[in-house]
Parts: sequence; C-alpha cells; structure tokens
Amino acid sequence: MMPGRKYSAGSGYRYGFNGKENDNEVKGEGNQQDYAKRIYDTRLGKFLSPDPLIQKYPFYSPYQFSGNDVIRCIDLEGGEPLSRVGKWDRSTAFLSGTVYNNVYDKVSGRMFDLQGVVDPWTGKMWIVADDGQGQQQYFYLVNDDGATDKIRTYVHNGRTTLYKAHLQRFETRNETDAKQGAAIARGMGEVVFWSAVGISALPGISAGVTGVTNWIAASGESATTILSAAFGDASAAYGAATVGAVGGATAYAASGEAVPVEGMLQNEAIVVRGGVATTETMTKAAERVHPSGIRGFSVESANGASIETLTKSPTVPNNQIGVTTVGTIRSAGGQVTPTTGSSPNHATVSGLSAEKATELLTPPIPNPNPGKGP
Amino acid sequence: MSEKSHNAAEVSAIVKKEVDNISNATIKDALATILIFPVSHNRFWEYGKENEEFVCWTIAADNNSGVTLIYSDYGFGPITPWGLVMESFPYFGMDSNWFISLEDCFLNSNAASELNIWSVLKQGNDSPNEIIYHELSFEEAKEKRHKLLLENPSMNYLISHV
Repeated sequence: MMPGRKYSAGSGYRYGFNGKENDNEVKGEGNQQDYAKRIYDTRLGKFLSPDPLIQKYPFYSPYQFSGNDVIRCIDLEGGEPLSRVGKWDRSTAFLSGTVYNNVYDKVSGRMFDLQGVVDPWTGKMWIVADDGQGQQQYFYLVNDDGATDKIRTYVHNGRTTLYKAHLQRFETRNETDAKQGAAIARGMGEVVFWSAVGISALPGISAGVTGVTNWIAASGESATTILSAAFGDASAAYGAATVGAVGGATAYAASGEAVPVEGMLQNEAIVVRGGVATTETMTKAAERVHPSGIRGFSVESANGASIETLTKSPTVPNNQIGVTTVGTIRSAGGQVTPTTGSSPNHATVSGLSAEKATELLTPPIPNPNPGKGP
Repeated sequence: MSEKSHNAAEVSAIVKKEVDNISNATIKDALATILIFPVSHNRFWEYGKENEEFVCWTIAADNNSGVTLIYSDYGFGPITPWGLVMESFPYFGMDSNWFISLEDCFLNSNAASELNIWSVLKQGNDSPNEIIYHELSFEEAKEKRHKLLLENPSMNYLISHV
C-alpha cells in the first residue's frame, strides 16, 4: 500500500453522510463524497461545482445542498433535494415562508405538514400532507382559474392564505408507488402522475386548518371519508357535502404511457355543450364557478358515451350543440373534470379562454335530441 | 326557497317588452303563439347550496316540440334570465340553455324549427361566412347541410337564422 493510503479490512462500509459514498482517498476520511453529479466537501459543507440542474432550480444557489433543507431532505446525486418525508422535494420559490406550513386540524387535534413540489414535466404543483406518523395524503393544486403550476396566496390578518384554489386529491402513496415504482422514488422531475380523479362538490372548507383555506376535492369516496383520510376524523364538522359523479381516469407513467385509472375522463371521450358557442356566451360561461371550486363552463361528457347518448340529457334541450373531445381540450391547455349536476354526465371544462373554447365548439351541429330528454 | 321577486303581471310586462324588441315579424308572431300568462314554480339550483330552489316563471310552452321557456331573476338569472328547459325537469340545468334575450332563447329551441328563417352557411377561414341556402325550416337546413358535407367533407357548414 502506498504511503498515506489507508485500508480498513473488514469494515467494508464505504458510505457516509447523506448515504453517499465517501472519497476517503482524496482529502482524508469522510472529507469528500461522490454524489454522482457533483463532489461534496464535507468540511466546507459545499459542492465543488455548480448544480448541473441549475436551470431546473433557478431559485436555488447553484452551490446549495439538499435544497437548503437538510433536516427534511437529502440531496439526490448532487442535483436536487429529495424529501425524506414524502420523497418529494419542494419548491421554496412557491412554498416559502408561512405557506410551507404545519397546519393544525382543529377537529382531530393533529398537526399536518403540507409540502409541495412543482413538477416541471406536468407543470403541476403536487402537495403531500403528512402527519409525521406515517399518514400521507396526496393532492395537486388547482387554482380557480385552472392554473395548476403555482400557489397563489394573500395575507389576511397576518395569515397567509391560499387564494381561490383547491387541493385535488389523487391516489395514496402506496397506490402511486405501485403504478410508478422507482420513478416516484427517484424524486422530483420523475413524478409525472397526472390526475383529475373525479370531484366531489365541497363548499369552501376552512374551519379545520389554521392559516390555509382548503377546498378539498376528491374522488368518488364520500366527502367525509376523504376528509377523514386527509385530516383525521374531520367528518361532521364540515357539514353536509355533495359527492359528485366520477368519470374515468387516465394517469401517465414516467414514460408518458397512458395508464387507465378509474375515475377520470379519457382523451377519447366526447364533450357536448348545448347551443351555439360564441365568444360572448363563452366569456360568461367560463367565469362560472362550480360548487367544487372549479372555474369553467358546463358540458356533458362520459367515457364511451356517444353524441346521441350525451344529448339525451334534459340539460341539452338546444337545437344545436358544440362537440369536441377531452383530448382536444387537453391539447389546448384545458381540462375536463367530472362534476356534480342534474345529469350524471355533467363535467366542467376549465383552463380555456373564451376564444379557444368557442373555436373548439365550432362549428355547431344539429342536436340529434333537441328537447327530448331521457 | 326564494321569495318571488315579481308577480305574474310584472313578469308578463317583462315578456311583452322582450317581444316588442324582436324585429323579425316571423319570429315575433311565432313566439306570440306559444306565450302563456306567467305561472310560477320552483326549480333546483345546482350551483349553490344543496337542495337550493329558486322561483321561475313559465312564460311559453309548445306542446308540439315539448319546449318550455321560463324566466327567472335567480340562478343564471341576473345575466341570462331566459331559460329553455324541459317542463318535467326540475332543475335550472346548464348555463348553455339560459339566454340574455327571450328571442335567443326561442331561437335555440325546437319551437322555432318550423319557421322558414334558417340559412346554411359555408364557414370561411379568413373570409366571412357565405350563405349557401336561406329561408329554410330547420329540418330542411339540416338536410341541406348534410348533403353539402357529403359533397365536400373538408368544409364546415353552419346553420344560422341570419
């Protein structure tokens, strides 16, 4: 063995801080670590080169470690933080300060930690609510204007409050992991789960959570079940809530491959809206807010349903209709979410301008069932 | 349940004012034949509280087409007070069957389908729409449009009451 080199026979364990492999031969034992993408000097507490993912994290110093959150996160390969809590890293740009909260559920008396992450692949903000005792629930944020990539806040009486947005629940960690396996575990940037799993109509829920007003929208489970799951035994305190109809679902795995999921509309689903769409009418329609909190206009849509079937609804008595598909709306930047209504196929289209909505619903075609009803 | 904001006579006056504003005599006369003296009833408003009901007034009914035209200050009412609904359907329904004017409401219904006021237009991309046929009933316009689409499936053809 060369002078100055050390060898510990039998110990065999080469990994140190943050679970990374020590480069003991360069600066002495435990003083340098290989993070794959960068080299970390443990004495300086810094990486020796800029973050290769700096374009992905413009809000971080290029020399930051673990997203500047060494309590909650580890650093993943020297490129980005990875939360040890939910294996989601967070965007301090959007969830800084008081928004990144411990929230207290008054009903259950339990504290939940809300942690969010902006996923650049989908442009959505994903949020995990964690009670620190192994209970985690997963949501993504939907602003009432349909934007899903940012959290908007305002301060009222010293409290930072989400501004007209709701959290839309998707599957549990285990279910998601089962579908996406290692992709989730690799952390942010790999997380591409897309969900608009049905909506239940819940009026603004604000009572249980300090400082953050949440409109919890969830899948076809009962509202009380969702609330119980999300924030402990919240049930009756929030009053009666109408549970909405649930459509079909599509999730997209890391590869981009569509994975059918129960409860969400497929891209192929036909969308029908009564009447002749004009910019004037669609401007008014697009401003409406469904009780679920979704801002947008009403349509009829269901997986596998034909125009003939959708127009049998008494909600489409018009002599002409506009027709498009869920996929076309999504391609234009919008979303179609099954929502409550007098028709089981009622859905709300959000995220489209009046002009774009008019374009997609034009030309109108004659209604095959004008005013006939079911 | 909401209070009545108007009585029947007041609603009747609102209807009369709307009818007077219709410039096309054919449309005005046809609408006049299905008008009735306003009758109040309640409908469920699906965009508010659970089981919330508001007063509506039935102002026109066409037994042939099954069309009922209603008026309401509530629901979509403040902006679009004229509703096209199924009589047996106890809800306000979608915003797409509520209109700013009674004339629009009537023209969106099947009650106007027999009037020879319908045209078939070729939709222009960068140019104005071109009238291909006019003064048709709605059924005739549908047939003409269908034939045009078979002959030239790449074009868009519209039915309108211009």
